[in-house]
Amino acid sequence: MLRYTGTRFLQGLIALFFIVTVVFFLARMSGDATALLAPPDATPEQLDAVRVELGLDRPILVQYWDYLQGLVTGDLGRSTSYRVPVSDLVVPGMQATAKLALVAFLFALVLGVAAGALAAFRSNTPTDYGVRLMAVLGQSIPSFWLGMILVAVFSVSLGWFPAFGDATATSIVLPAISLAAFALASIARLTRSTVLEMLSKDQTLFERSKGVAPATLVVHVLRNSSLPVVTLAGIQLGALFSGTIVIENLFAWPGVGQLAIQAINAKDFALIQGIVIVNTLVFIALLFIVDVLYGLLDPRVRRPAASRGKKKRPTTTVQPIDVMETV
Amino acid sequence: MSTMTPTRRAPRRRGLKRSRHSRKPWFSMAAMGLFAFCGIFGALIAPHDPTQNDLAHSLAPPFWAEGGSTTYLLGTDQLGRDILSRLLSGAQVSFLVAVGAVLIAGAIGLGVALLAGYTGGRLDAFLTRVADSAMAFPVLLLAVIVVALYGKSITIVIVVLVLAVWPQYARVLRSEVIRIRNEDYVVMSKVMGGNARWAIVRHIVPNVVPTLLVLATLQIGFAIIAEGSLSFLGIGVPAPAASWGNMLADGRNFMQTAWWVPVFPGIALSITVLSANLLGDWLRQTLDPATRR
Amino acid sequence: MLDVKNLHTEYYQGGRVAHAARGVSIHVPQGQAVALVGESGSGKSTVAQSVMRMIRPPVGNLREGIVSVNGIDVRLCTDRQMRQVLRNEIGFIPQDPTTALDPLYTIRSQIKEVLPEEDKRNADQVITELLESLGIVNAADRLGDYPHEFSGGMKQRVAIAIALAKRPSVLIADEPTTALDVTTQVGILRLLDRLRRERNLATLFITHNIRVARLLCQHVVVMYGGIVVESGPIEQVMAAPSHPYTRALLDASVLGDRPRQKLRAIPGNPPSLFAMPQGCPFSPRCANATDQCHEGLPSEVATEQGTRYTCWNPVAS
Ligand SMILES: Nc1ncnc2c1ncn2[C@@H]1O[C@H](COP(=O)(O)OP(=O)(O)OP(=O)(O)O)[C@@H](O)[C@H]1O
Ligand code: SF4
Ligand SMILES: [Mg+2]
Repeated sequence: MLRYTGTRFLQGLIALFFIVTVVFFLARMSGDATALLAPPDATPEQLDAVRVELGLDRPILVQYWDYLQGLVTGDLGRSTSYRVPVSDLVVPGMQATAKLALVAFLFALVLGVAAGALAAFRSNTPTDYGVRLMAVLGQSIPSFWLGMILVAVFSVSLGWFPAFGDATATSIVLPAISLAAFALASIARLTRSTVLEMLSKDQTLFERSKGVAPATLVVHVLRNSSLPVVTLAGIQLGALFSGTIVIENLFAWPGVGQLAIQAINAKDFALIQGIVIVNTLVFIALLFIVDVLYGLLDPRVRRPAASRGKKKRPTTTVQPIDVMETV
Repeated sequence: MSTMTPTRRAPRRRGLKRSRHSRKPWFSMAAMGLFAFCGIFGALIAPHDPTQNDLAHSLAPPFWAEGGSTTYLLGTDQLGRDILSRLLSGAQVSFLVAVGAVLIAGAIGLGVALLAGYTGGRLDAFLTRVADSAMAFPVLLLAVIVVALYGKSITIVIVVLVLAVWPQYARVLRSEVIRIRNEDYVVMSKVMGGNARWAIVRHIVPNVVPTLLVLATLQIGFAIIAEGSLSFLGIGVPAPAASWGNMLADGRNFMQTAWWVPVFPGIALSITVLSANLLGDWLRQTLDPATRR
Repeated sequence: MLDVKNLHTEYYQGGRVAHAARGVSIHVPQGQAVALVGESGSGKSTVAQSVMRMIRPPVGNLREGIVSVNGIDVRLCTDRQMRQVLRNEIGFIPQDPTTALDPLYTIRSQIKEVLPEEDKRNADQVITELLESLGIVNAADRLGDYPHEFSGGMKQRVAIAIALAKRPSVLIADEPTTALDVTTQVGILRLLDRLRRERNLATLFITHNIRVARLLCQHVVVMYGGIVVESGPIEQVMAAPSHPYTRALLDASVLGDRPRQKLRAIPGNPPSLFAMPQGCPFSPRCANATDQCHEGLPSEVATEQGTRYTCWNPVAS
């Protein structure tokens, strides 16, 4: 298990390093970096000053090395539009984003698994048809359009929840639901098909031949079905973290998503770079957690059988699940 | 396959065909047909210039509502632009982006799949790894980087979507390629002296077409939503060009006062995506390729 | 004791009804082993699963007949009673232990699930003894292991332990050795034979290979197309088969072959449930077939040797 986790951790670090590098060099290659990193209205003299101040006149590899050193110490550079360190903006922003994404995720996971499992156990009944219908709709309606409808109904007409901001405890309800809908639908669909498949397996037949209580049977089926669902849930959580960009802008939620769009409009590349890196970090951490969880759930991963002949390493992060459920 | 399985979803048995084929999705087919038609000929049938402001007639309601006129069948937005014409123009954008992205990504994915699946070994492991990582990377984050670096345009939207979508093709098609490669007839044609390229073209490509088709259909829904999201955020199709996403963004403050501004693009978007998804699901069940296993 | 009389089992598929067992009768006395043999698709597993009442709507139904396990008719049981029967009376050994054991649970917990209450208190000891009696060495150290850490033959022994831990009186084994390699097969067969004697088990042993059946069983029931075509003491049936299909099975089978391969001696395929021939299901492939055979099924005929067959033109032997 330790070795497995260690490998995963290392892979995560490599991926992070890779993305940081790509973003850095893309930024340097796409024209004059000074223009990207200086305020858009800077005069030529100011540009020169910025160039010297940021060390952009030095060889690119030296700059890159400095940049990496900064990252390790948590220095993400200075925002040109806010004129403060990027980390001062990104850290509180990420907190708000994480709050929204996690609430939406829990909602999607709990309800998605419950609905999907229910539909599978009652397959071809009205419950099943209902869940399937909702799932298809949930995968088809764009989050921002759903959000607008929810605001019109539950905020403006009924006045139950606030339409924007993060001022009160109930502020999170509408953005979280809008954000969760797609993930919920995907999780419900995958859970349903996985449980259905599980129910038809020899394993379940054998378990039933034991004459165990229905509850025991359900636990076995659900535990076995959880493996692909965990993989999908991890990917969906990552998608939720970046999906907040849309929802935050619709609901004026004070997270990094709103920050990102402001940064693009203000051409504040340092800030964008910081947001992308922090988001990637979160994303890779999530994948790592999923991998570890997978190991905890599946003894075949945790304790691979004494290798006879060729060694089998876990090769892919994404476990074999129905890929179409992951979009 | 098991021998001891009376089940809810029975495994396929000799002589008994799977009975899960659903009825033909006429609604989705019709909706997708309409979408394609508007996507191709939208500009020809649009009654007005979709970007033409007409402040004198701003926020005119649809023709059946009080104060509406048949000049602007579905009403106008706050700048007096004709909603119907903008919808048609938006359909063209969605169509172009979705079909463009899906085709290019499909070609790239197929190429990678053939290369990886047919060559095997280290190259295969490497390409699979790259595809896996790329697939896990969130689209919107990708879009933020690309747009920040290269600005916004339809081309950029397509590029972002291609980057996001190709790994899925590569992954699914790769396993298909490997399966088909190992089947006897390809082995046979090798023995008989056909070279690798011939074997690929002759046997593999036609065999992955159903899978390709299913994936593409399902991706269209995804691409349309993604384009809508980017345009909604103002980092997709730049104004004043009409896209369903930026129409929704323009209309987001009019849900109560001038519902037709946001509702029509919202419905167009949802129905198109829904139809694409339903059609894809149906194709997946009917053609029964690798995507459902 | 297991007593099946005139069992009719059907599957529902795509709005159609597939009649997979048509009037099957099998009697398995305590302490004896009965082989159920036949080609793939003849309905062997269907019978086994009917006994465990695994075929329920919407999948299918036991439409008619009596399936009595120690005097309890499973067709009349409530779900709760049926679980009781499965818990106390029937041990089931699957075909492929690799797909049947739950990969996420330890051996201990999978066996413990079926232990009777009185055994649960010193579960580890009971399980260890059971596993060791089944030929697993160092069983005590392996209780916390997972199925994937065992070899195929060992996994099958674990599955047998699960079947036996309930202390059943009836044992149903559905091709328990076909997923194993030949040497392991023989070991498992010997084990099953010993267990039957020691525990006085009524054993229903399903196999496609009549010669394998002889290593273990006293009686044989030959099925084809959902009906019993011949039955009786195994020595007699093998020495003097009456039904052309039994004859062909004997000609075709070799010890240690793979399941579901086509019978070499018989051209053609077993019939589909939706295209069942009018009269004798074997008629399209039978060398002895006459007009009569295409019209109706003969009734069962008893021979002097104690065997019974269902055929108009039995083979002379
Ligand atoms: N769940 C099911 N739904 C519909 N038909 C089924 C189902 N299970 C089995 N059948 C059909 O019932 C018939 C008998 O199948 P069964 O599994 O009992 O055969 P078998 O003798 O055990 O064959 P094998 O040697 O392959 O295990 C076959 O024609 C099969 O197609
Ligand atoms: S009844 Fe007729 S067809 Fe059937 S086995 Fe006997 S001879 Fe052959
Ligand atoms: Mg069987």
